[in-house]
Amino acid sequence: MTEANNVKKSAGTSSNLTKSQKEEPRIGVFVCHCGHNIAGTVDVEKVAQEAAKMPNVVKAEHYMFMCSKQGIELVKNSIKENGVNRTVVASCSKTQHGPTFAKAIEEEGLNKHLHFQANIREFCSWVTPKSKKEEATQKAIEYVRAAVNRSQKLEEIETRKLKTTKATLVIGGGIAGLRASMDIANLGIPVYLVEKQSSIGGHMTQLYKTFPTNECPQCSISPLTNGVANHPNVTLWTNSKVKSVEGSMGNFKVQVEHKPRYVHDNCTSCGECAENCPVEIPSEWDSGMSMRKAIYKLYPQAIPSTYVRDKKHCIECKTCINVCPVGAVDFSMKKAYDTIEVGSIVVAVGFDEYDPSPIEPYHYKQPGYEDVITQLQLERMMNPVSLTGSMILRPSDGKVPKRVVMIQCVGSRNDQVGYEYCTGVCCMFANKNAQMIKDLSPETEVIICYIDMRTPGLNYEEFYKKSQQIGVKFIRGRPSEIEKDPKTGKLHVYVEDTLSMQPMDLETDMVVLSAAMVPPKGIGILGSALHVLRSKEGFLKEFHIKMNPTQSSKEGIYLAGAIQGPKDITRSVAQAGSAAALAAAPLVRGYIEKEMILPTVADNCVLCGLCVTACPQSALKIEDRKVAVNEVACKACGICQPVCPVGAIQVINSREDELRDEILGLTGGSKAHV
Amino acid sequence: MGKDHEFAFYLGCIMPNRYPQIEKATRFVLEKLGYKLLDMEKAACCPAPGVLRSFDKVDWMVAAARNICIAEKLDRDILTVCNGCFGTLQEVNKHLKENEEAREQVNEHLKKLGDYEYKGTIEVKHIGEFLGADIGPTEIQKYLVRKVKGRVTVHYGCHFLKPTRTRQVDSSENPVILDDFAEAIGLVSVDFRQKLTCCGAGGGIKAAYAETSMKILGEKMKNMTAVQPDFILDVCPFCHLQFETGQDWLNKNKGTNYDLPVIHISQITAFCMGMDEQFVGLKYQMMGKDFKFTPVEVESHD
Repeated sequence: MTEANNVKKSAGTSSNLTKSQKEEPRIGVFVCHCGHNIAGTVDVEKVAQEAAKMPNVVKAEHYMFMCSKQGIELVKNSIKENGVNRTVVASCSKTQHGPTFAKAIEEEGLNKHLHFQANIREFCSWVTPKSKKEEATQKAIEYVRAAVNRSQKLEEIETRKLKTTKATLVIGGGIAGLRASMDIANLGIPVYLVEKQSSIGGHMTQLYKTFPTNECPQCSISPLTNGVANHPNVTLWTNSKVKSVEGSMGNFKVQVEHKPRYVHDNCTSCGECAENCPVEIPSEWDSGMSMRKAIYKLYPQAIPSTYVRDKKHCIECKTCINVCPVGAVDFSMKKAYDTIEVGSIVVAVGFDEYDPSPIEPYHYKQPGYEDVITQLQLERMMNPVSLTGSMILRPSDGKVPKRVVMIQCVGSRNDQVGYEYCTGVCCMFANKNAQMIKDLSPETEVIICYIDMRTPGLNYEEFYKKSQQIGVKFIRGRPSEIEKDPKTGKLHVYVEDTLSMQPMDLETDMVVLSAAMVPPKGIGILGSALHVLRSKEGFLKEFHIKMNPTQSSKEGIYLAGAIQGPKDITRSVAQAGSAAALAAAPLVRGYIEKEMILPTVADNCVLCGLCVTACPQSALKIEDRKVAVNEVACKACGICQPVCPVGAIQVINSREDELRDEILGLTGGSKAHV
Repeated sequence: MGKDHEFAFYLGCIMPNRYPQIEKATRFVLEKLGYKLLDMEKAACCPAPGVLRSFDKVDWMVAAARNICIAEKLDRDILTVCNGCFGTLQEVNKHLKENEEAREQVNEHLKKLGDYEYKGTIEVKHIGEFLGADIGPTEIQKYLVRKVKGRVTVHYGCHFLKPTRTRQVDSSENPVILDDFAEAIGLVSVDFRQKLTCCGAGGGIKAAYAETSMKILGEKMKNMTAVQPDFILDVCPFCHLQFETGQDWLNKNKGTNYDLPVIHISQITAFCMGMDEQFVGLKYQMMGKDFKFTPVEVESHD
């Protein structure tokens, strides 16, 4: 790997690796009360007393809050005053405050890997009733003993600086992907923007207006679509998708597949081809609310404006080839591939609207129920270029509806069909669309059937009030059924008004379903190509729901917009900005720091290759009859260790004998060097 | 005849007490199909899925499990012609098979009642599922000696299909099993409003809130008669009772003039399989006493 040549030793940490092994361990143990969190259940004083008797422990203390400045001083002073050369803090999990103490001992000149956490909070006090203080105390002592045992053989590990590739991949050209691309490109970092549709803009460009200001989304987004398309730092690839991703934070290698467009870039977007194309099919972009040809562009302002041929529906009459004034149409175009190197990745592939067909009582898409549509279909109907020319008309007969009933939580908040989560956006877009119907067709009555009206945030509740003021009606109840009267052909919505506790039978001309936002189709394939985790609902999972909602489960891959969970445009844009900052940071800095926790291979290796196959990062290979470790790619996951039949491959500081020492501490064995 | 052509026949309460003609028809149909029905001696009330369970779920399970034990001793699956019995027996059977804790608890109680131990060795079948799916619209043709012409409003009732996850018979929101069977014996199943709602009898409503029960039935009758059926087809003696006595009540109290015959799936199927029309027993019912089926000849299968 080329990265290996770029590896430099970072200043200050290039210490003698054998130093800590030569010195006799002098261990300091610090037991934290964590207020009542630990001390309420565990006798911390006794734990400290017992710790003092453990091998090589020269200092054992307890304190109210070890993570406070005073607590950290205790740890530091023990190094200065008692010659402590390894520390064990018995408090919370190692992900919570492990780094706090590691940094503290580093400031005192110790290698940070010589610190070890004993988790007596999550593993002990929090999961033991207060009435069992004695048992909890005993358990805490065992955890501390295990940590002390483990601490004995810890080695210093160096931190190295690795050079990063200055480029970012953004997947998805909707509002989140566009915002992230723009922000990153403006920092002078080259951006590859990959979009699977033939044009960028995403769902936002499908909307008629946006809440809470009822603005035109096309007008809001076009500076971004144009800006990104013309930005010198952005390489825009539409009709393309990510096939594979290798590598890690700082240095990814990505293969991108470009589907043939069958129209070259010299297309002037004159539209002759589409005008003459004899094939006409319902437009997916318009959710069936308009027709398109087999050669088409998604919408008039589409960027890029180059037409695209739909090979599936094309009858190959070649009229388009003949009428194109610039000869741009070319049926011989083939699939193409690009391999790019980037330092970070932003995933902004958005969402799909839930297809309500599985909810049988609503009869969506069933024959005779053409007047049951979704909010996205309504948006496309209201669009100026729709079949209805922006008028609210019943799909079945083209008449202006006297009454429209909207149903909330379709596919959301439903543990039987669809998803359990609240999409959180539908209350607002239903209010917005209700207002739009009243605007376009003032005579139409609009009724919204809801479970709870959820409009948190500035200007949102006000927006709901506005709907009430202009005469939109609200019924608190989830309709049980949409039924067509077999005699009259009229639609009926059955709902209980749970405020007056009255069952209601609403005869209506149209029903609009507020369908949930769900993970986009194909996210499984993309998710596994990226090696990132997904939530049980299928969205890409954030690293931490509170503290790091923008990073994926994998370092270097960031999430923007609805792919991390349903959200509105405002929040998608905000998260995109955050993703851009995180994705750009290591590239602007130019390097990342990597701790060299690596496996070592002993001479008894039989070259069976099991570890090479098992390594999820492809960091191992056999070279010159030896297992070679790619120090950059290795994530120290340790999976190579248990698969080795002879125990030759061992990860530093997690070697089998070290783990055995730790387990012995838990099971009652106190002898560290067994 | 092997085990798979024999059932333990669970009678329930309403059928033997009010509608023996449904029992006769069921026995006729099963015999013609080559099935033997074994009597369940000492069987008691199922007990009803809505009422007793609402008061004491464990006792409800114990009483049901006792009935199931009787069939387990016979080593035969249970056949029932009633939605309520099916609701209780099928649900308790499934729950006890899947839940060890409940099984142990119920068996503790069963010991007190005598030589009973729930083992979870049998299944519970509803006549609608048996005819509509196990035999099915195609296979039944082999046994028909005539078909019946007519428009029919099919009433599924509640416990036959709901809750879907437990019953696993057909969709409870858009079922076709009975409509398909009705069409297979020559009928036209006409769609009507609120087809899948309750008849108003179950859940203790008929006994506790008679007016409400009749209000629900009134809606039902209004929606059914709007599409002018020849008769109502049901799969449950309790729905049957509600439609029968309810029409009479509505006529007397609400000024209606209903006289819509109410036919259980066993009755119409038996007639199509050759049972004499007098045994369908409409003259013993309250509605459509003089109603006559319009038979249609079918080609011989010989």
